[in-house]
Amino acid sequence: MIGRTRGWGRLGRLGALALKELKVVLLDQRARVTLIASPIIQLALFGFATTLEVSSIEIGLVDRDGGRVAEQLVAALDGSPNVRRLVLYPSEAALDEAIAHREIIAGLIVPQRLSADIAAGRGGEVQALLDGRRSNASQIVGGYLETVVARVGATVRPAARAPPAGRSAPQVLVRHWYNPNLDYLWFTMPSMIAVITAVLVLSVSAQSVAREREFGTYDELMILPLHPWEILLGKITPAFLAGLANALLFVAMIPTFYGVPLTGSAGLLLLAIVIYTMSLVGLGLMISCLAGNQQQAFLGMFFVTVPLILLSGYASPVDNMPGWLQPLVAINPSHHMIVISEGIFLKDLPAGLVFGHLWPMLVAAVATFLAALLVFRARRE
Amino acid sequence: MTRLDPRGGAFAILIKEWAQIWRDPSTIGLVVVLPLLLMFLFGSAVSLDTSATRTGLVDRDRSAASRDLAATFARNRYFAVTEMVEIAPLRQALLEDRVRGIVVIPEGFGAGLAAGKPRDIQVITDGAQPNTAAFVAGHARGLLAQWSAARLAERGAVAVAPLTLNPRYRYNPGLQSRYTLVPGAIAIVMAMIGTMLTALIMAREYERGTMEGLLASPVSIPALVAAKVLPYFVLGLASTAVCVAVAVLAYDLPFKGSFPALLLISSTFLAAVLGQGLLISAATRSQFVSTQFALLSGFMPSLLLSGFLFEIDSMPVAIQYISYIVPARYLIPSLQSVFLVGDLWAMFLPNAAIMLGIGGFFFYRVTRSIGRTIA
Repeated sequence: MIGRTRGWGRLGRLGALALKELKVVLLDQRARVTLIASPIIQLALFGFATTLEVSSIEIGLVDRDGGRVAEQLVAALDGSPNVRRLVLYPSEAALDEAIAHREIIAGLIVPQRLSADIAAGRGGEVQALLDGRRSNASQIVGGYLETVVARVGATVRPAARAPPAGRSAPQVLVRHWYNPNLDYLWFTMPSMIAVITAVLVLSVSAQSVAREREFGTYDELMILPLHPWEILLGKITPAFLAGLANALLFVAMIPTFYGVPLTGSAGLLLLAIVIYTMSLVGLGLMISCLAGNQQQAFLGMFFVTVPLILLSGYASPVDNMPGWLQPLVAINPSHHMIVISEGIFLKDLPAGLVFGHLWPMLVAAVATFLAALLVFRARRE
Repeated sequence: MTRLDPRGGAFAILIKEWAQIWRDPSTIGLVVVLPLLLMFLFGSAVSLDTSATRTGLVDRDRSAASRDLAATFARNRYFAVTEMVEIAPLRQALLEDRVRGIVVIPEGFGAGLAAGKPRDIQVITDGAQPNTAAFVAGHARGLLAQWSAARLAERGAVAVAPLTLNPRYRYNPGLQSRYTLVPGAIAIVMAMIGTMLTALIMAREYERGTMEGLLASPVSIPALVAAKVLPYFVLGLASTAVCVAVAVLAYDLPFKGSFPALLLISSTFLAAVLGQGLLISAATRSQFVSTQFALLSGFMPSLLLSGFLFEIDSMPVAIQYISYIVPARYLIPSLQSVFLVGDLWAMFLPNAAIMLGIGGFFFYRVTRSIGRTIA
């Protein structure tokens, strides 16, 4: 190795350092397993877990009426693929208790004389109690129950009151572009590339320099015949390669195993992944240079990773975030990566639009690396 | 304490652990800044409350009826409407994420209505954002149905819907996602302190070679483990207190339950996650590998498999089974209830028992795994 590097000069020494760093990380069998297996497990596990759909719900019913309406409601809910279980309760209090203990997410209360009111053409109201602790799920269940009740209303209304033949009201024809069946996996899988890579790369790169400091080998780094920036480049090689390898694996796995179409240019996606990984490595390195030991590095990494993920648009839409947070979203590399990844997978995003999201990541990569370099040099003296 | 009394020894280790924690400035960050950061993110940034969705509208008809419908869309609080003459620029806007939906009112809309042969309107959504797309479609349907009903009513044709739904959202009448998310953030903070920090403490002793010294002390292994972990238990409870204070004071969450109930569920959860962290630490013996494992088994499952962002019942069955071993799954319903509902002991006690059981199992494994190394 040494004989060969002599001919290569500086570049060879840099390569040798990078190789040594790679060996340090990969020679530990447990580290090897975590670095390679964990992203794949995460993709499988968390990709499927991320769903804002609400299915297999459990619904309660209190029937004070004893007429056709409740009969029809039971029939409609029992036949629905979304409802796993329909439970009858004797009173509103019992229903409320069941919601409190999370046995059911929602319950319908059919008031007295409702069937009679409807037969007389007066119209009526079914009450619903929903579990507000699970706000998003119960909102979706509420919308679903509204549809069911409206449908039941149409079947129980007296024939004489039915609207005249022919449709009297216009309808909405909905078309979901880029994802016709609104398959949630099509959204989560491309964003998982950004999220899992962020967690992996930041956690590995944040340890790089901090580890040397804790082991007391920091000084040995300093006497290497290399520039500080070369030392840092060598230190981040494992994190960079691990992140890149996993992201590329995801790009191959997602269309093959999850059926998400890759409509855009794979080359552009790879370019984006390289730049994204660089920006993450820079960020991790900056944390690592600031930290005094591995625990601090780990905490610092966590302080950065959590906002990065939560402000990326993965856990909740960026559109819902308040305006004063938007500047933070705009400098978040994970946000840009998710837009690019979603865009290239689903929307066949043209190169011009991809570049609009590439340059902020590139700026982040350069700025964080320079900041890390400044800290590294300042700590040396 | 200078005598080699076993109980004194455990106490000495406890003091040493405290000193180690307090000398590291990142501890303050951990107990105060981390809860504040997470409460802020889940209270202010992450929101599932769909605000006005940026929507494009093309009116190809330009009749009185279509103008009225367009104005109704513009007034609706779920839509922030940009009207265009052509659909082409809106297609581009959808591609660039500048709008999330396009409403197209077709030619002949007004004439069709007058003739009793209504023409349907078209709604195109950005399917790459499925949640927003579903909301846009749902709200557009609701808006059009209301608009049609109001129109018919104006003409004297009573089109009262025979049956309507009157929903009431219990415990969260305004249906704010904050009420759901902020208790979840507390779980993340506790999981972080429990699993992640303790994942480092044994590994650090092994890595620095000071584990032999601890094992050589006359302290029994269970006492040693307890002494190492107790300070983190206290830190976890302190962070929980900070979180609860922020939730109630800054984010206006009600606190309907009692402090003993909160103490019970948070301390049993801490027992579970501390045990998990210790086991990772003792099993891997390397801080680097520990952090990787802690992220994978502590942070990510607490965030994604605990049911506070995503409904567990809607996940594939295999993943639902995996969620049974995630301690946060048992904490989050109880925590949400202690804030929003009150003391539901019938829910708290079984969950606390399960978390305590998980914790007990982990501690048993840890003492076994440390015990083996001496032999």
